[in-house]
Amino acid sequence: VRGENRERGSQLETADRSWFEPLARTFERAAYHFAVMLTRDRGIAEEVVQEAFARVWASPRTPSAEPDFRRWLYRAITNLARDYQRRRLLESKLRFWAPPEIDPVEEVVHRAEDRELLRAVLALPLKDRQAIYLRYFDGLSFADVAQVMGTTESAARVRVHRALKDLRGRLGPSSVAEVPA
Amino acid sequence: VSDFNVELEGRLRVLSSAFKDSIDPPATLHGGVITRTAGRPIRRRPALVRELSLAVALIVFVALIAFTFSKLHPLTVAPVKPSPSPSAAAVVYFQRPAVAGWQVIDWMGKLHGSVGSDRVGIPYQSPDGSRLLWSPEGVWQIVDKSGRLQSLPDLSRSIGFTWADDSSGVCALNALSDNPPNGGSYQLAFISATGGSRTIASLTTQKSPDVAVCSPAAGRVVITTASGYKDPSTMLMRITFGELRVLDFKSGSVVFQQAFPVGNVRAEVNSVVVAHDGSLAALATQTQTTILNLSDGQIVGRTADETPLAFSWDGKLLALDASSNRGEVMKLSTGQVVWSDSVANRVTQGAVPNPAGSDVMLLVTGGGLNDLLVVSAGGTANVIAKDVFPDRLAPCTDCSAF
Repeated sequence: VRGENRERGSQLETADRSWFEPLARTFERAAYHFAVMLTRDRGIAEEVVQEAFARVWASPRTPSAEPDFRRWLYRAITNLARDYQRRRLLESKLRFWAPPEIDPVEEVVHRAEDRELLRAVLALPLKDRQAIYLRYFDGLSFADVAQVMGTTESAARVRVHRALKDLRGRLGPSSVAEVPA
Repeated sequence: VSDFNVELEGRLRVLSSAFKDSIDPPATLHGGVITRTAGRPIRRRPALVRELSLAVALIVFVALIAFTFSKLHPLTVAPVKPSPSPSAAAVVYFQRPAVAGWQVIDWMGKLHGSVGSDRVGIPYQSPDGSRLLWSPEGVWQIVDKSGRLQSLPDLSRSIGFTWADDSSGVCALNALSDNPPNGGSYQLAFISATGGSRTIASLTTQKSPDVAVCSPAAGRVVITTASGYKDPSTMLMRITFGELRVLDFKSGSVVFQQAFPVGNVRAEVNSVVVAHDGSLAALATQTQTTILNLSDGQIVGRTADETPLAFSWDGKLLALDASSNRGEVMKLSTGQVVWSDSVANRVTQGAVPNPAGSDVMLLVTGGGLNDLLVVSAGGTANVIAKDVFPDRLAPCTDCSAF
């Protein structure tokens, strides 16, 4: 654990990084939603987003243009979310932070009209969940999905297609109504 | 199928709005981003010439420090009872973004195919990689390295588990009454990889416990306890270890116990790494790392401001995360740094020992995925895989804190 004694600043004061804080404000909400989808836990998502911003700030290669910055940020979030999963935080949760009475993600599920679908999305493996989120929740092109996922466009298409197939399987035949051609 | 997809895609887009509208970021999010970012120095990318000069200067500096350290802090590590190393070549598993399943690679960097799929989650591999523990659809399975099912361990009540160092099974802590982060009552069990289990001991703790070491050959199980919290001034997570307990693998009796100071930030133990056979532990505070002999409690060495990552299998090397976040490998008998990462902007995330050798593997990253870097006892480093996501290679040293 390092850096505890570093001076706390209300603003980021590095002159050649004046673009960072406006971009942070722009993408914090979207980043948080993405992190909640990947981690399925709001406490961990907050931690992941804060650490992801700190990492992209510290990297000398972080781009300052909006689309590239978001891609960079999302990759950092993905790596951190996977790392947290590896460290079992997903299973054990941050229980020392006065847990809420209701699991916040469960609360979202209860409030969503299409609860069955949201539960099915949240039950997908991480990479499939990531692909579905980027494609349908963030509306990215397959090329952009591929860039965030660090893969090719064709592989991203296959990933999304397979995830949709998995979702159909989880929802069952009665839940996915046939649409006349 | 395409019609189904059109309908499903429409539902997903509608769901997207509901999902985002329902989830407001916490009020502390922005403040946390700014606070944490303000405390993080920007890593610079120097020009090549300057980089080379710095590298040379760093090597000279590290050599000087190592020489001075070895003079000031002679380490006299007690002889470690050797545990048998697995005979077959050890392997590790990783994923690449565009490839399904888990690829198998030996410590020389030779690929040996792949196993499993994305459905199995992130597997826990045994130290030599001969077995994996994974949970497709929430059902725990122990499989061999070809993916063949060996047993279905009951980990439903487990709050922590660790592979035995001989890959024969896992030591698991089952909660009887769990009140995190204030500990509780637990049952420690050994679950054989081929089926069956036996209770080793029952224990109560004041903080959340985890299994740091499970060594049937050395006859030891090491339990650590820890808790964690988010420091409001920095928004960084802090881990505080409470104690370390060595139990006899057969009888469950406590053969060694060490409590750590709590309440004094500078003295509290923030990181604990234990050798695979429970012979040595590295305990890190904010200012120093202490190497402890877990047979007699004697301090056998100290090093400054570094986070321990892993002992080598023979207990002769210690992989460290230096204060600059650069990986280092230190020879315990002399304190000499046999290898120090000279690559700019590369951070060490973790380390794991080779159970069939004396080398250690470091998981290093420049910001994206990991590279697997093998460092020999002689100090030579070799990247065996780039841009990969490794499985769970080693016991999670701070998991109990969460």
